[in-house]
Amino acid sequence: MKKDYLYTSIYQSTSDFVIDDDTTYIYGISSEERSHFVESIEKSQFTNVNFIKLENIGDDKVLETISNKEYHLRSSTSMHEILAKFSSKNIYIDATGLDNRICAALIKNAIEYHNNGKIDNVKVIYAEPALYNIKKFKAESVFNDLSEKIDGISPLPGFATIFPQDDDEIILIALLGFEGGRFSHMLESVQPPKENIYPVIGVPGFRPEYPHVAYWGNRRPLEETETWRKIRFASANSMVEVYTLLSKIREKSPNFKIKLAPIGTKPHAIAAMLFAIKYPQTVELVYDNPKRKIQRTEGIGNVIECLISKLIKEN
Amino acid sequence: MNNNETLKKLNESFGSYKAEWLKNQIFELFAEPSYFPALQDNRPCVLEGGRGTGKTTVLRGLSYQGQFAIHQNDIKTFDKSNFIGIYHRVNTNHVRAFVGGGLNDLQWGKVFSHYFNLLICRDILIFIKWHSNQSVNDEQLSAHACKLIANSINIDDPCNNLESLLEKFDMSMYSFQSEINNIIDGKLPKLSMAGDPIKIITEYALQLRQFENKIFFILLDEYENYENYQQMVLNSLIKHTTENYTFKIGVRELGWRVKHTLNTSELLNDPADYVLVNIESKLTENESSFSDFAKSVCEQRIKKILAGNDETAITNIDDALKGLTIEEESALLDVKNTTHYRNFLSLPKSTRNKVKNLPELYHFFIAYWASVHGTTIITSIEDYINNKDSWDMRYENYKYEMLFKIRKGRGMSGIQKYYSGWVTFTKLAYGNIRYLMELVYKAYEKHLEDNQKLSVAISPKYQTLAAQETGLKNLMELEGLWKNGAQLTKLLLGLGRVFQVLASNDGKSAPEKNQFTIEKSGEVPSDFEELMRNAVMHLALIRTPGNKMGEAYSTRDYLYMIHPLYSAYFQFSHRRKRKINLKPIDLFGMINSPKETIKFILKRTDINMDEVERLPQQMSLFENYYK
Repeated sequence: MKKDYLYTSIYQSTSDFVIDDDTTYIYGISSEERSHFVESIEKSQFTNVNFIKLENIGDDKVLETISNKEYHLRSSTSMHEILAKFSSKNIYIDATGLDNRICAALIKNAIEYHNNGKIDNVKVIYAEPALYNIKKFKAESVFNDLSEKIDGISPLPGFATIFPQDDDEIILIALLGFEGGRFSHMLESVQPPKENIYPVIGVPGFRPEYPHVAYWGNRRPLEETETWRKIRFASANSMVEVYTLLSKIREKSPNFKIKLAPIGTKPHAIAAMLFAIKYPQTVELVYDNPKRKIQRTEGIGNVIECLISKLIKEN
Repeated sequence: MNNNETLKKLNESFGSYKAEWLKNQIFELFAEPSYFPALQDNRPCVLEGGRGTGKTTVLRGLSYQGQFAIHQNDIKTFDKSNFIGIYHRVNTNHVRAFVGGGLNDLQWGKVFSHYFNLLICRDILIFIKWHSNQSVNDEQLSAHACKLIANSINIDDPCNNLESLLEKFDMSMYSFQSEINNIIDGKLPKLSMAGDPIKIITEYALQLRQFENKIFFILLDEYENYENYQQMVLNSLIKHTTENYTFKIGVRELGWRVKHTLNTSELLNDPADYVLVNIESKLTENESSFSDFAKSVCEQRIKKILAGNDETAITNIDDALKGLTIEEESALLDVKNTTHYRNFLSLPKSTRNKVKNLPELYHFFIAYWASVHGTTIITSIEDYINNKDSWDMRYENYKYEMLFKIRKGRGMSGIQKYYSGWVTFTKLAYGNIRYLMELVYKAYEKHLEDNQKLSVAISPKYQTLAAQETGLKNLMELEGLWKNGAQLTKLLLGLGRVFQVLASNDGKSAPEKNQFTIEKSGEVPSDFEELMRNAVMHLALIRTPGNKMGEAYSTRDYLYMIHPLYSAYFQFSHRRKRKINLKPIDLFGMINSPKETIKFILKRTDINMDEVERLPQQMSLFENYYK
């Protein structure tokens, strides 16, 4: 059964978007138009909502732009300082303009903070793009990927795992995007047995044709590993669906360690982070740190709000 | 057995050409390479080779799990072996946790050393437990030994036996992980000295009667995945091994980036500190070594799995993959239906009769020679009659290259150059067993899909198509092998086009130009060394020492060639022959502005791109790149 309605709200227009009272709203601005949406909404309608804008200054550090203070993503103490700054009951993490390294550190610590009873709710906000710039990508070529290049595999802050596993006893779940090169890179690095690979494609996609683009972009590694028969689907914008799917795969193979590669949409990546938080001893995130093109999307689509603290607690 | 069943068997026998796909079958199908015994002595050894050369298979074959399987899962036979292999594949995602976070390399070095101690000691404990499960009479580690081992790695909790020691190791590893995740908070555990716990645990383990007179082999696979400072830490351990343990390292060529220990003036030298085994060199040093090894790998699979009970099946790989002589190939390429040959035929019969005993390809060559040198065919024939020896030598030098000129250009349908025969396949693979298995797999697949039987040899056509497809597949895969992998694909597309045009274009230049050197003067882009290192490490290019190697080798002292695996796709000669000179900026030009750069390079060899035939059909996939 689909569980989205239990944890997710979808706002079709940014003007419909509401923020709960007593909230700390953490966000960042990227080069993409959609990341600006929170700055354009009318804030006087909200009560006791405090905004924290973070800027990525590299080397796993962020700058809080009002106080001009630096925070370390690889320090729980530092992350808790941000989360506790306004002593709000609710934490909103707007993932739209924050890269996955920042999201990972914030989400991991916010859930921990919630589990310690210090806050009531943790929500993730995500504004979909109206469209991706994939015109060139549709033409046959390996070079028109959305990411210019990747920085290479390196653990997300807070998600480093160093416990060795037997390579035969791992499952690789790859949450795919359009870029097959990233999937190939994962396969090369993780080296799972062919039968232990589960690719996941976002269906439905943000637009009807996007799943086809994902198939096309990933067709070579899918063919090479013969995993095209084993593709699973989860809505591209749904953290809940992916989280549920991951739980099902885990239930079917309880003795396997899971390597989870979030190389697709941001909602899928966030679900992967939540899953790794839920099962720290059996799930390892493997992330390749793409360097994004300056402008890879246009416009703003739906705004998704997901109550992740409830999702992770109840599932 | 019908062909669908045979195709399934094919997949089982040759489809899993990566060690990780074979799982436990890796040991059942294990074929010992000629250098295997050399790895079994007590000295540190570095096994160097590209992706797919069999490093993992060999190192896993040396592991205790591998040795046990190779010895038919019999612990008594296993115990006769004089070493215990502890295999560890370096996991990038794990070792990259020990980077950044405000610590410098020196500080990380201490933390990483502790991690390595934990990792290897834990693996040794797991081995001791595994062995006692196989052999009930094993002597157990004493409470004193357990305490000492725990103490050496700063585990304070009491542990009096193997079980509790292992449990404490696991707990220690998890708490260490948590501390690494909050490295900025500075709550690190008490760290252990690099290598100390390994010395202690190996000493106590080898005192157990069941392991007396043995040595531990610490088998580290994918050494290139370590950070530079991590290689320094481990180099120190390699330099100072004890009689109780040694290292066997698997690394890609150029993946061992730092050769000194933590003391920067202390270098590791071959053979004083370790034995270097370069797989490609070992397997290509003479004509037969790779071919013999590959034959044993392939024929074993054909007999054991593919052929099954089919007694009519050809199980000799030489016979299954028949090759063509150069003249046979020219006939198959329809040399008679070419302009040069028709020009020859237009001569009076009496003139033609003067060379009537020569092969058709020779006639083609005489006409070709006349054409590019602006003379007549009759004059060339007269010259041939007067200078037979020099013409024969010339023909010998040029005849292979002539094959590329028979059916050039996209207008010509069908295969424009054949790559067939077991010997050719081994040369395309160039010491790389994975490439060879891919080639054989694809060739059989095409053969069987055409409803051909295993009792029939695979046609040159299917062998060639297999070679082209394998080239394309690996070309596309380059993108995933390195963080800037797309650069390697682009580099090969550029170089491939240059050598393809050089091979097919009519001209006065020397034949079979397919290698290049890097000019030592001129501008060198900052990331040139990294590009070349990765191109070699990921087998986009192969390199051989140049003629004038200085004492301090540099990237530009070598002779480079596109890996021969790609020659069928791009259509140039896979035989290492002549070279051209390129500048570092040419190589980056192929990545950033290919059309202009290719044109410019060819112009230097007097080829005008405007007169060059369009891309061969199989390369049309990349038309956008060349536009």
